[in-house]
Amino acid sequence: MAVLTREIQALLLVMLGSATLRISTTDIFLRYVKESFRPFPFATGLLLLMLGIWAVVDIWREDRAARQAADSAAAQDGQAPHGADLSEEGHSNNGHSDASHSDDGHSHGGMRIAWLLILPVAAIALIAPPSLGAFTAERAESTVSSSYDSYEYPALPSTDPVPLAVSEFAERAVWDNKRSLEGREVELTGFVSNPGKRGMSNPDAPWYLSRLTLACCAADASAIKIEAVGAEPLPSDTWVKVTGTWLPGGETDTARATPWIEVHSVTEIPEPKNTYE
Amino acid sequence: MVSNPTSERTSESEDGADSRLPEAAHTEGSANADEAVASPKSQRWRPGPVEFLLVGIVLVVVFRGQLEALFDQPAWQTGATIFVAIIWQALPFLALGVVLSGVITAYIPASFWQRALPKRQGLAVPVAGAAGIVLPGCECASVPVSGGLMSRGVAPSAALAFLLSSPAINPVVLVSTFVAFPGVPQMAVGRLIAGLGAAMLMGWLWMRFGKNDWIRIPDRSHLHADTKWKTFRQTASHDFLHAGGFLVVGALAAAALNVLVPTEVLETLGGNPVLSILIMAALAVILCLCSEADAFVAASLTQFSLTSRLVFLVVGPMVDLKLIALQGGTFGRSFVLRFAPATFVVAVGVASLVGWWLF
Repeated sequence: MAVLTREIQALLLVMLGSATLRISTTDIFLRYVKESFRPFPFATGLLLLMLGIWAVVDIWREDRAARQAADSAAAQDGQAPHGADLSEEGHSNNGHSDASHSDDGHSHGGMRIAWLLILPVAAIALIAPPSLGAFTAERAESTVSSSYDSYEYPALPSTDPVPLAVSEFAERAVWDNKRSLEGREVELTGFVSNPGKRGMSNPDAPWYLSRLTLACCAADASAIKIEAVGAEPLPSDTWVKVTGTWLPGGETDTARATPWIEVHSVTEIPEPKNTYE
Repeated sequence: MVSNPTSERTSESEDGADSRLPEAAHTEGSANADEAVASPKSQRWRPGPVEFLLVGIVLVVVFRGQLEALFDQPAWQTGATIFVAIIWQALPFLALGVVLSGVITAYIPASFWQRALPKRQGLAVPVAGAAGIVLPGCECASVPVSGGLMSRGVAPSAALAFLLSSPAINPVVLVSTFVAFPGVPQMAVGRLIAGLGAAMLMGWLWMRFGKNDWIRIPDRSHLHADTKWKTFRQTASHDFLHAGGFLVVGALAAAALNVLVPTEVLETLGGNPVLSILIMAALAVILCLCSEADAFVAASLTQFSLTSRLVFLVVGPMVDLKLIALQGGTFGRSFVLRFAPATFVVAVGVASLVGWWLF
């Protein structure tokens, strides 16, 4: 029976604690949870690791105490063959007096469920699933929310081209009453997603320059898609740096909008460390 | 330790069987049946944890190629990413809840709660519900905390009101709702009113109709070790592993549905007012968003009415797949089978009413 003994509990705590510490201190973390949340899993990893180590120390101490008790009992008895029996008895007695421990595993029959905690550890150790990408973007509608109440955006910096986040470009394209993007050469970084069955407003646009945003973690990802007008077709999930200009005419003033960009150049780039915006 | 199955252990694990998740999750169904037939005294060999681990490792090594091929497919990859994301987003909050639960069990005497809460249950319910404001966590934290409260003698009705209200109405959640809906402060207000209202209603419903044998109150009596510090550690470790296992079940279900359910098809049905409420309520259950993040998602679902989005924000922290798993694990299956559907109906009803009044 896969009953959860004290030893297994300690093992699970140490395993999960190490896995949590590991992912919260490396770039892998950015694939799953927003960067600003990093301190919480880090603290959790430390806590779990400490709980696990304490559990190991407890086991070790109690076993030693049991052995000493058995030894002294054997020494008093002075009979070697019986001594072996006694030491075994001492051990099981200890198990009973310490009912608190031998009980935890099964008095809650549900404790066996804790075995499932191996799954996330294995998922990280064996697969380390990648960031969400085109599969998610292609299933979602482009969502452009506005962060300014006034719908009047500050002027863009004067560099040419202006490097912008995909979300910033989309927001200005959809919501800015002052049309700050007009006539400006911009540089955007994102991945390629291809249109599914719906949302193909311009048949000449072969793909969307896309980016996912997180509120907390990958489970709440939402997509921002910009139609790349006048670009050569590219396979989904290719990371690219695109320069171009805003092409007015896409939907505006709605959160479900797919703005357009007239593409001047496309450069393939490696996947950035943090794929989300 | 590993291989000394006593007769006690056998009978105990059978007692526990009815309060666990479906056997399919364990692959031990047949072993259990064998156990029931065999006399408890039999010293027959049974596979222990070490054997399970070894078989698992061998399987992974043998089928590693197939496993990698499987997770090269975008749908599987996406599911795995969402699973891992939910786990590591929720673990810190679960840990917070477990630490608080450990503090409650080890350091706060039962008499404190008798003094802090009104004697009359009918009054204790709203007081406990309003106290939910002070726990700055999401729903994963409140399950172990309310379990800890019940084990210290707090009436289940009051502890349940706290369980439902704290993830919905704590300051972090209300502020994030306020930020996510610029220009619509009624959303945060509505969330506070509907969240607290539904939580109190459920507390009173439990007081009136709930039966004590439906709920399994976490028993901590066996965990009292020689020192408070040790009690604290044991309670925390035990609660964490227990709830963590159920979190895995919930995260698996959420990841699978996230990939399988075509949410964009559901979203096209948002125009109908009644249908949109039902769809948003269902989405809240399926998506298992953290209550601190759900407002941002709701804000982006603009094709749905404000009322239906309020329903989404009220139902999500009270009923979702991972919560059903966590509550089932903590309070037993017969509890969650009654409590989760009732909460769903009450939350949808109260939120719709509040939305109808506010918007």
